[in-house]
Amino acid sequence: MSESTKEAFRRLRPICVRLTKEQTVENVLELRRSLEETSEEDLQQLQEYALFPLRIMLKQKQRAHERLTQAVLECMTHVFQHTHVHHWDMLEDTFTQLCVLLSSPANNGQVADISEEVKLAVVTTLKSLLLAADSSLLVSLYSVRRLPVIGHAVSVLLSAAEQESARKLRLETLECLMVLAGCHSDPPDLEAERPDLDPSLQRQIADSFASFLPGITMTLSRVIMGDAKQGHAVTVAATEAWSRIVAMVMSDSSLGDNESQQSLKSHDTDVSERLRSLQVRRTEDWCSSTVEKLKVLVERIAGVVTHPSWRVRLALVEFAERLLMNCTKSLERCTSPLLQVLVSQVGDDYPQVADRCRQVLGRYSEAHLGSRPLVEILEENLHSLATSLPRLMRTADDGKKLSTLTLTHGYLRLLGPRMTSLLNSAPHLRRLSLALVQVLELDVTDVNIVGERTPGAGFPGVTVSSTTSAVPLDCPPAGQYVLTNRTKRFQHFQDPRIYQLLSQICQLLGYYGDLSLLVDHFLDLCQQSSLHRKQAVLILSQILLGSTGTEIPEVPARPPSEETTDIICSLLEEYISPKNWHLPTSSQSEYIDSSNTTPDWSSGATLPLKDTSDWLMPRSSPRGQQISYKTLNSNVLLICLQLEGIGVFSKVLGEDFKVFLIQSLYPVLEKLGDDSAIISETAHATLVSVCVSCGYGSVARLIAENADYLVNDISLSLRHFSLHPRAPHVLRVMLQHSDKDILPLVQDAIEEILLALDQHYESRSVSFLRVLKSLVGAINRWFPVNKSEEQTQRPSKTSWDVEGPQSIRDFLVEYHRTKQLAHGLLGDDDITDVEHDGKERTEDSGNEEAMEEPDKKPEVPVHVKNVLEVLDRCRHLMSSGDPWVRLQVLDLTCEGLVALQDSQDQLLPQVHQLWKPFVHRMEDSEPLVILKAFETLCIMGKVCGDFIRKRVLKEVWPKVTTFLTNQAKISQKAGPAYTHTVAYRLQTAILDGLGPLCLKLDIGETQVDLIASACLPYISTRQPAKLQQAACSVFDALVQLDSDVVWLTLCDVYCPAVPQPPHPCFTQVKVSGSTSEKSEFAANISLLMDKLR
Amino acid sequence: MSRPPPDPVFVLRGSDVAVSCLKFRCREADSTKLLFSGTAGGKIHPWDLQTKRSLGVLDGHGGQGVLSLGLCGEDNAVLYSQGRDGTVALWDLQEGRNNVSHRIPVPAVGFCQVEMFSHGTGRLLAAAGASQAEVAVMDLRSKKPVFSLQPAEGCSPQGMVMALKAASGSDCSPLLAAYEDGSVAVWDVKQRQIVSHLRAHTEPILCMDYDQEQGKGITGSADNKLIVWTNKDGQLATKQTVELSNPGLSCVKIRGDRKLVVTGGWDHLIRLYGWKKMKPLAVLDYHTDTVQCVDFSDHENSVDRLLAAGSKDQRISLWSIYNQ
Repeated sequence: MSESTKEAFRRLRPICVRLTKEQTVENVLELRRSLEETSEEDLQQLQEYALFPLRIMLKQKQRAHERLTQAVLECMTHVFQHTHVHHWDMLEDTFTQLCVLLSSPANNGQVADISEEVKLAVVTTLKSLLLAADSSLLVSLYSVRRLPVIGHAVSVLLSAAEQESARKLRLETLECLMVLAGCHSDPPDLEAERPDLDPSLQRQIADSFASFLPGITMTLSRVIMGDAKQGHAVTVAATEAWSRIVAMVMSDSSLGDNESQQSLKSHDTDVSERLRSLQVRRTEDWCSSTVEKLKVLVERIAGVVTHPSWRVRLALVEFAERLLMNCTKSLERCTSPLLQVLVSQVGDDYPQVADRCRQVLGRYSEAHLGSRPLVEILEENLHSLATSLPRLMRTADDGKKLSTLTLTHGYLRLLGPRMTSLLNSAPHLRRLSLALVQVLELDVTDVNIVGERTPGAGFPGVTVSSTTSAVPLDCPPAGQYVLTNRTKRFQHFQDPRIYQLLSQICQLLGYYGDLSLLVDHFLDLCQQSSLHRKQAVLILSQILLGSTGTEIPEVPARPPSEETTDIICSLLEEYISPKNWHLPTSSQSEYIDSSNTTPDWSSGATLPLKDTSDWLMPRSSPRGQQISYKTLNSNVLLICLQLEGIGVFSKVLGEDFKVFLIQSLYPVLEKLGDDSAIISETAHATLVSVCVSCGYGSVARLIAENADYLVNDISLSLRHFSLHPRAPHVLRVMLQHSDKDILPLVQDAIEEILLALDQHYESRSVSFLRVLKSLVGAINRWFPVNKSEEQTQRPSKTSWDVEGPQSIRDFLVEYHRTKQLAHGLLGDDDITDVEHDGKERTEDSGNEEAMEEPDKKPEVPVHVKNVLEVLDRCRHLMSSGDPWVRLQVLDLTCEGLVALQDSQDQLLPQVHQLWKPFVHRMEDSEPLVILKAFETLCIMGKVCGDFIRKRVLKEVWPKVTTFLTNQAKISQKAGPAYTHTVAYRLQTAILDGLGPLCLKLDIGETQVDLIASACLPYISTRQPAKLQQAACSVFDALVQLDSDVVWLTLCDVYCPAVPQPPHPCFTQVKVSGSTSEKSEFAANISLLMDKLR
Repeated sequence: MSRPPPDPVFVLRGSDVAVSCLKFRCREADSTKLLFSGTAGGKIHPWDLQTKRSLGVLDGHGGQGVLSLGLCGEDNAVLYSQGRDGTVALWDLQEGRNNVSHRIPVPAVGFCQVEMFSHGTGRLLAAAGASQAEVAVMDLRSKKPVFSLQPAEGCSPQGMVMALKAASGSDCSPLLAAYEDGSVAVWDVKQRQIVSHLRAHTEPILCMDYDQEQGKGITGSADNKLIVWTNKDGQLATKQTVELSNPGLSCVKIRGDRKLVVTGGWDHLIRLYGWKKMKPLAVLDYHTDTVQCVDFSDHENSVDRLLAAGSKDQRISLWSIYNQ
């Protein structure tokens, strides 16, 4: 004994003595402390001495307090961790003691009912004990004689691993089990001290564990497949334990030599028969039957590849690696499922997992290329998978589908270019495609697909701004990315990962497979059955997308080949052929007859649906056969998928796609103008993708630079308008999505549209009017009205608004002068003066040129010409028999008038011509048309008030005032339901518009009086509130024109304060209005009077 | 019930003025297939037949209208254009250049399109001469007038030369000339005298084409007749007369394979006939003004062959018709 050991002994002795006498936690802890201070060599010397009191404490019959037990165990652990165990007695005794402590007294196989901390401490101590034991001792520990002891320990540990809930405890248990099996992962710091177990010992351990293999594997696989909530660490540890133990027991090396069996026999001759029966001999029979059972378990465990935690997936990779590498021969039957585990994770999202997978597969194929090439196994697996794929896709749930598809993806990815053998086999290709087509079946039951309409599809009342903002020019609409989800709703699965996988699979096929073979196959499928068409289109898009490899991770991208271009050309032709492109997508508006479109009134700001439906009903002619909404949905989706396909083509070809614009741009724009929101948005997405791939800055540029193609198609389509009724829509969307640069380019098309309208004005005017409206709308957008001019138009009046006697005097002087002038008494000089001046001036400035061409006018800009042409058509169509057309025409007229605002030279003659047919609309049979006509009148007043003043006074005022007066009586008595009638809305509209109109027309005193009288009934409190408000606004306007007349009119019905003469020399003014505050007019008139002052 | 006539496969727009002449160049398999169009504004547009877009503008006649376009030189590689400015320009279009390489002054400005033909060893160019009924012949190499063909004083044919066509003969290299008085004459270039003379139309002849192989020609004029005549051993004889519903044919063209004849008329219509028996095949109605010129493409693959028609309405229509 060295000095330090003696010193340590001296220190420990009193503590140990005290501990034996007084067994308390404090004492144990003190022992622990002093042990910690002792160096390792000393501790080794004093090991037995130090452990003695502790072992005594554990051995006590009466169970000690749990806290105490725990402290004792921890202390022991410390000792074992720092020393080696050399004595068999110590090992056996402690081992047994610990096992007893852990197992329940009632049932030996079960875990004792003690606190988790104690259990943890026991397991830890057990582990450190085993680690500390000398290998010579282990030889006897694993002898046949000790088989029951080990077996007990194993079963207790297993039940703890399975049934405990504390994560830490379970982990420790699993680790302990591995230590017990001698196949734990050696921590690096111990490695040097404890080299690999000597092979004979290892064999011995393997022999004994062969007996426990069924229990261990079964229990651990249960743990592995346990609920994900147990934490990934437990699953990882269990996987590790499973694979390590199995790899040890079944390893090729230990099974290879039968020598071990021999040695074993000779070794334990003195063992009883009973014990011998317990021992398993690893004979060939045993092996084959065990492998059968293991295979089942391996397959089950392989199902965990879809585990959400990547650590578990990584552990599975290692699991597969360990078994594949160590048990190549013995577990040959499990090779296939094990490879499956690896393959299915090659495409893992986590590079850690995927890389490891590839590494393992690489090593495996290197090591075993000689006997059975990996590729062959993979091919075989893939072929059998392809065979069962349709069935799996049909029956399995999402999770199973996901794992199957992951596997398929992995095989394809691994095989790479060698997958052609699969594709070349017709039955396999058929099955593969069948599976893809089946699983990708789209859900067509969503009513929204067909129900959603493009905003702005209904046109009357939609303001210019709203039509233009329907789809922004450059960026995709906000809802763009929601869209993909809308068109990609599948009947057989919900998990988006499945779709991603499927598209990856298709892309891999496209990348590695024979493109023309695949395209031919799926195109056939597409043409054979309408059931498969959508899926086939979807798959084709993905295959082509994959052909360049840009979307597949970790493969080099490659430019599209010549062949790809040809394939895309033929696909494009197929997609845009009428049988695939011109499908009915809505129950009313058929491709065949788009003029039957039931107008979408709901989006018209001024025309809510409920009011108009009654008279519009008969318009939508009952169709012979109703197409089910599922068919319509399916058509919508097919068109969307084809549009997406075109987008993909452009992505694949990049700049080279420009060649195809000549064919494809028109059909895509046609769909952009579709009434179905989904189609329109998808078309927009396609356009954006075309813009990006062909290098156009924006959709507007794309359209402008290819306007020649579009114009050509539009013009040719117009020649057979009945066959191509959507041609005007294309022009419409062109205009909507472009800037003013396009106008000269589309002149041809505009002319032809106008020409076609002239030819088809009876039957098809609706769609033409729509395009004309967007033309004028676009012109209004591109050539905004000059605002400053508008402001200067209002003459500055109310010059005698200044208060005071001075103003009255000025007024009278002015009045006198004017009156004299009117009577011809005065001003002859003045007038001649003016005329003379004028003449002189013209003579001065009049040089010869001006004399030659006195009527020469500046060139009329193209856009103005266009608007004039449009208004010409309006004039003719204004008295159409169809109220719907009349409404549209009025709407269009409004837009046109606004557009002409700046060019009065053209505006006034046009208004003059429009007036006659227009004025009849003021007494239309349809109240709605009157409503619209009045709106138009307001706009007309706005743009050329002076010009139409006289006509309005003569032809319109009588109608309006009569209507107002008559209707006032009705509305006064009507109940709340009245506000839902057309008449009410007409009243409101007229009263709302009348004020500004009067201002614009600048009407005189008599007219003010006329209007004021007509509006007077409406300021009664008995009228609906909204009408009162509107009427008040009219009075507000009238006040600006002639406040005196208004005052007088108001005073006639209600006079809150009788005016007092300012001077006694004036006589008292008498007004007929009542002064009673209870008058029905009192409230509103008081308000108005306030404003008058 | 016959099928309705087809639509044009494409319409080339953007000429901005009336289209006066057309010429396809589609022979070479590797180079871009082109259609040249000349306009009344003196500009020549080379249209790429794949993208259907003009590759640029050739402007070599100072704003004067282009009367005719043609290909000459080795492998027909050189484009020539005849302008109302009184010159024939030869264009150098190799490697993206677009310059006039040579300019040959032609005597008169009329309606007659120039005609290139070989005589002996030299390449000659025939054009309407300065005086009435004169045909001026120039040497292409020296670019100088060589001789002129003038009928005897007072004899028919009279009036301006309206169209010229070379008819390769065994030794005399005859030249066909159509005149304002409605007659067609065969000139013996060597002897410089008229071999045969046929008074075909009562109105001025406006267009003529000739089938060398069968010795058969066709003329259209301001009247409502389309006349097919034969040229047997230098003797002209009327073979067939086709009456039209509307008078005035501004252009006529026999297709390279001698199966089809196309005419363009003042009535905006393009008419197609079988060349053998002048059987009417189709009437193509697209243009909104006089069809001024027609041409057939010379694609090697017959399916790709196109018919182009240029009109006063500033458009050029391309048709894919009877090419199977």
